[in-house]
Amino acid sequence: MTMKKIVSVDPSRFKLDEVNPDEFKLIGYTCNECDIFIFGPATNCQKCTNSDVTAIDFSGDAILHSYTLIKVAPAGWIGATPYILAEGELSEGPHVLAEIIGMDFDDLSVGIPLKITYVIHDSDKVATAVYKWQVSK
Amino acid sequence: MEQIRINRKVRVAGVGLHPFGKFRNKDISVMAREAVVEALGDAGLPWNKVQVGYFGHVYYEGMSIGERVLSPLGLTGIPIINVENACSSGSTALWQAFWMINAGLYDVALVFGAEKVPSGPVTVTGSDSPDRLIGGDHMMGGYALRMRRYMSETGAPASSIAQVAVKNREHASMNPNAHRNETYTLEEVLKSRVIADPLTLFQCCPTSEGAAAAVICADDVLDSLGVSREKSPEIIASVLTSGDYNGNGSDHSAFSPYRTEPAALIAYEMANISPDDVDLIQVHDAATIGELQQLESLHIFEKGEAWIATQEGRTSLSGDRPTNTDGGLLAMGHPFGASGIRMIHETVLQLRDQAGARQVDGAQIGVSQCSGAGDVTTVHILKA
Repeated sequence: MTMKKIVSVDPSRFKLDEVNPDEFKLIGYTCNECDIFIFGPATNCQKCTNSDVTAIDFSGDAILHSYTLIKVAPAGWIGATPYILAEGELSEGPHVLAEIIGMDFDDLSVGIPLKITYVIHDSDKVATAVYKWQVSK
Repeated sequence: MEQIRINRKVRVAGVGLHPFGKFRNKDISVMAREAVVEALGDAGLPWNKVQVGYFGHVYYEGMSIGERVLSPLGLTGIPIINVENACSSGSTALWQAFWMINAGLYDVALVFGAEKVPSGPVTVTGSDSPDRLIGGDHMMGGYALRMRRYMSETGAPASSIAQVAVKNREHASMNPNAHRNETYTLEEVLKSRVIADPLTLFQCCPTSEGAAAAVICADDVLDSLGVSREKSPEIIASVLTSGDYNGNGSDHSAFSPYRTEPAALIAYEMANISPDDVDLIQVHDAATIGELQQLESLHIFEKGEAWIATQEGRTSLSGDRPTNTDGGLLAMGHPFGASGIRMIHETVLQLRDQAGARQVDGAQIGVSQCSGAGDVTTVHILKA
């Protein structure tokens, strides 16, 4: 039996090492002119529009900006319902939306620390690494 | 950005509305055409006087729907432009028509919009997006994130935010064109099923079908066309903005999410008025929290105080800041392409003193505001 290759759910936002899947990062860019951070794809600085941007890895540490329990999921949602959608504010600044896993909704509160993790979504053809929030212990 | 100036007076000469609701067996083009014919009749202008048409819509399988709406009225060869700009599609169509007339390219424009929104949660991305695995894209989920943040920063209880739905349903009970015009108690709103905690069903706008239209004319051609100036409120500001950098790449903040605040500041300057001069307000209340945040972004209330003003009845028809006088998105429903023009329809009726039971006494200046995905925001100000 051959192991399925693990691929990122969105290589412009999340990368993981194929050989060592414990190595994973949210990714983006920093502007070399105005020092802001951008989560996800960008060809130019979102603030000053300069093209002098550098690809970076984010720490993955965040605080919980806000959260909700989604009881009616959108068409195409792959996962259990209800689920907790959270907005984390990365220590570098950008906000990132993702499901929170491993935590009861009632135990959450604005401002608690989060860190990024991932789960494997296994389909017939491919194993997809999907980034999620979890609460930092 | 250099301020664009209004060089030519432009007025809304006629408005039309197909009721909002569910019309399963009625084609969208028929609904849109009925609104167009009503607007032309209201203006007292024949179709062949229209020189350009802008049609707002989002969901439609096919091409050139605006042309299909209008062709049965006669093939006059005018430019017809189909406009997709999320929830601001209709108001973007108005913006385009306004500035084309202002620039002197045309004298008479038709602005129309229609939609049949599918049932279920609205998303910006398609159903094959990575966000269906990650969990990000959910329109009411976004409003719920803003609501929790607003509650966290202001101390507003969920019940005070839910009061917006009670108020807008009361307004809609006086509006036969609304999708939902039965009233609710606060308890019923709070106990309706949870969509995205803390947002309950009755705090989310229904997915609806409907159409709206407006005929826009240059002031300097009204006399030659025989159009009543008295019946035609002037558009004294028309502003459209899209996303600008807000520092974090996502906007579920407690205060001033969307680009409403910068758009409003431009609009007030363009109109040479202050927020205190506004007599009635239509805002994008896709969810209850939206109305509060938009009112604050429009500087109608201070940040963090719109929920108190709502509790005090200030945004009701009898209050000093009557808001969403026809029931808003929460009761009218939200056919994306039509909603922005529906707000203009309501504002025009109010400024003409034709709004019947929901008339705001002596209304002279009305603001209408739409926000759509991509941070597409419009602000229009009309004056009687």
